[in-house]
Amino acid sequence: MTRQTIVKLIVAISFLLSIHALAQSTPTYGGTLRIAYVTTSPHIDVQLASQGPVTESAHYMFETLFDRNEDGALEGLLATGYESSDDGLVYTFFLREGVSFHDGTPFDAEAVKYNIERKIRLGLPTWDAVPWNTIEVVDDHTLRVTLTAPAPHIIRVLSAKTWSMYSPTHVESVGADGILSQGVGTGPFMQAEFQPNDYLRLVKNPNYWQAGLPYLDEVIFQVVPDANTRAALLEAGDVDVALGLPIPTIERLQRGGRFNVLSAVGSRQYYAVLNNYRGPTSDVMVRKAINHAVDKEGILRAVFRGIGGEVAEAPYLSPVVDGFFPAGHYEYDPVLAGQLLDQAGWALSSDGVRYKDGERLSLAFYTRRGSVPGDFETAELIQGMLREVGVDTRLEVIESASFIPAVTTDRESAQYDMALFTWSTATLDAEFVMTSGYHSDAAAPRLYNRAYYSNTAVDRLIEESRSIPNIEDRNAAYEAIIAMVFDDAPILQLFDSAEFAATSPKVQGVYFDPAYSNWPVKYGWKTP
Amino acid sequence: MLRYISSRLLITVPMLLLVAVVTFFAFKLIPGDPARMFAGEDAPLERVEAIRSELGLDRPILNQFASYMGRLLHGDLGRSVSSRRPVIEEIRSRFGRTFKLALTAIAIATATGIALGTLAALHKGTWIDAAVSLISLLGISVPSFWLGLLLMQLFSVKLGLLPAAGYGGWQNFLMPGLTLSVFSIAFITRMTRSSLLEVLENDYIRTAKAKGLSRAAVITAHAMRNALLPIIIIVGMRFGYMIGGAVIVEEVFAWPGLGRLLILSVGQRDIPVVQGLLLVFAATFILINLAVDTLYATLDPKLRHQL
Repeated sequence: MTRQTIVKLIVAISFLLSIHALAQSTPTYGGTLRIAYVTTSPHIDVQLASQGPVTESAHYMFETLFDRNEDGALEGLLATGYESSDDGLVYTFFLREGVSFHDGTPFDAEAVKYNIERKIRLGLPTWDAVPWNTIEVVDDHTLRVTLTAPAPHIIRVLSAKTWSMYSPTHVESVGADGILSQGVGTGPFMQAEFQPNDYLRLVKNPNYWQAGLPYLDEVIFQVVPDANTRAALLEAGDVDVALGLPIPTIERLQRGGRFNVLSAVGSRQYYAVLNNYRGPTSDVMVRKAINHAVDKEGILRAVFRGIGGEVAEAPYLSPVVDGFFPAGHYEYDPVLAGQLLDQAGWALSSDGVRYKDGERLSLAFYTRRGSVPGDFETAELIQGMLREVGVDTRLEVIESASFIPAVTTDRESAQYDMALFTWSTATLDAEFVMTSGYHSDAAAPRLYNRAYYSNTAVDRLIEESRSIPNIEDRNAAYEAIIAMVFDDAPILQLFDSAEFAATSPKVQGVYFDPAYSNWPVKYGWKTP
Repeated sequence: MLRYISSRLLITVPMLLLVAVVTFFAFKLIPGDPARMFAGEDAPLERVEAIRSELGLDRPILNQFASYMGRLLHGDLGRSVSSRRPVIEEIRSRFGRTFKLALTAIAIATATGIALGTLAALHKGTWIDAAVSLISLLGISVPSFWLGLLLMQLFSVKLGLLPAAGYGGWQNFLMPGLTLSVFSIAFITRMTRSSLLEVLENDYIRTAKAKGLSRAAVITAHAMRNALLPIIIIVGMRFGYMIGGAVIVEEVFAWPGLGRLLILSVGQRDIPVVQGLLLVFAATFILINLAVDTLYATLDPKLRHQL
């Protein structure tokens, strides 16, 4: 017999209370919220895009079975709770009753089954994060899922925005191309107008299942490519929220005191890939030396004015990710870095660069400029710091559309020794890092192990951890793995970045979603 | 006249075909992967490959070229890789906005440029002339993104008079229109000044003056009419550039026009849209030139008889 663990999830009432707790005033109904939005989104199909700008609007239009509150705790959203069998192979989801999609289609077990099957059938992002076996409708509001192996992270996977529930009727009627520009979900706002890469206008869903919500009548996302223009729009009162502002602008707005500046550290980590497969960086001593040679605090001060984040304490993992373990960071110590390089056989020459058997210690270092704040400046500082310990780097600034193919290739054709990157964990669960970053199977181009890191002991521990049916024991197993990976220094670990939003003081009820670094205002309001 | 226009129109066709061929191969040469850009930076490899074959990008390049040209000859510009909408629709929905912006800018530039140029010519060698030269020098050297942001700070943030950015009512046109016009103001000012000065040297001006005509009548009826001819050419050329060259102004003012579409599409390696845009830019430029030449011919009796 299986002893069933029943997890009662906090429901709408407490969710509402927690949102109210954010408030500094009594909510006001009505009004239009304008958001100056950073990047372009050619489509709004969040099931297709696992991250990026699409997720910003998805908060308003679509809902997932589970969600996180502003403390990061998992709650039921379209699900009210779930049961899992002791062996972790059977999950039963209890779905919220009385919910319907914007087009009137009832939200029920059939709809959830349809959406999960669509993700699997089309191979949409993270469909394979869970070893699906069967999906069956028990009754209108109960769905049973069986797995071929335990996956205690399933709840976290299903809380990611890319597992948003679409109206099956709508998907069938508009088809795969139509869904790119027309979305029908269960969220507090409904799509009114969408002009790809320009703007998205959403209107209040009058039949929203959470009584009394939302407060706003209308939300408009305006794509404004230039950061200075976004700031000017906010300062001129043309928009209520400006996202993606550069740090100097954030500082200026903070000093001025006329706007609210919000900041939080999410799951995004800045790091540099080190090529573990070949070249000088295939030697762990060299990789450790590089980690010791770089002053992360110094970069945070110089590029991010000391408000841009915190030094990372585990490879790829920030503290907001479930399963995070503080393995540590390599202290800034150029002398030690030099000693490690000496030990690795790289001797300092009269030209200030190290040599080994006549080979010069010169690394190809790829970066972009402006893909994330301060990327190029960070790379430049790293270049200078490495030069101090006798490591020469050839910094190559590559435009985005060319950068991704250049760093998404198999290990034989990879031309880089180092590449500056950021990592985000949208599920906020370390399983994603294990499977997509640490494991040697995740080597690019298949997944995101662009360091070509490979340690058979780590691989084996990750595989063993997959049969652990509950999160607590699994996280305990992850500690050892994270410590081992840290010790192998597969990457140059930098910092977990802070994310900013600036709002007019009228805007209330903004909260932070660390998974995507978004600042949703879906349950917020504007004071008159 | 009609034969002249129709022969000029006929040359347009091979010119546009050449543009199409060049853009197709140019885009194949630069690195970057449209399938990857559409699938997303972190899309799994299988997903990228699926999109590649969906878009037909896995076929041999000559094969792709043949089907592209085949469609093009039927007037089909294809579909956008990123939005999956027909390219012609993407362009149509934005063409008007860029056209109106360019029209605003060319109106500002022509009025201001002719006024300043005339002023300078009539006060040649005085401090007024020097001041106008300085203004036109500034106009040519000021980067438009900087000027745009400066205007925004002044008129939107400080004074609160105009909307900072975005497309909308006539107020939205003023700052981007002015920013886009500044380079052309300088150009037209210089052309007006030199052209008017040249005309004023002519014998018939002396005759008109000797006839006892008023200074105003001499300038407007005799001098300006002749000085206008080279100015028209400059105005036409500047207008053509504005249609395809409003890229920076549109980016700064978040103007949803063709320039922004071009930047986005290049960044996303949305080749069909870029090709469509370049064809439209080329065609617009050619047509504006033709219009200017025709206008020139009607205004200049010497040319009229040759046609």
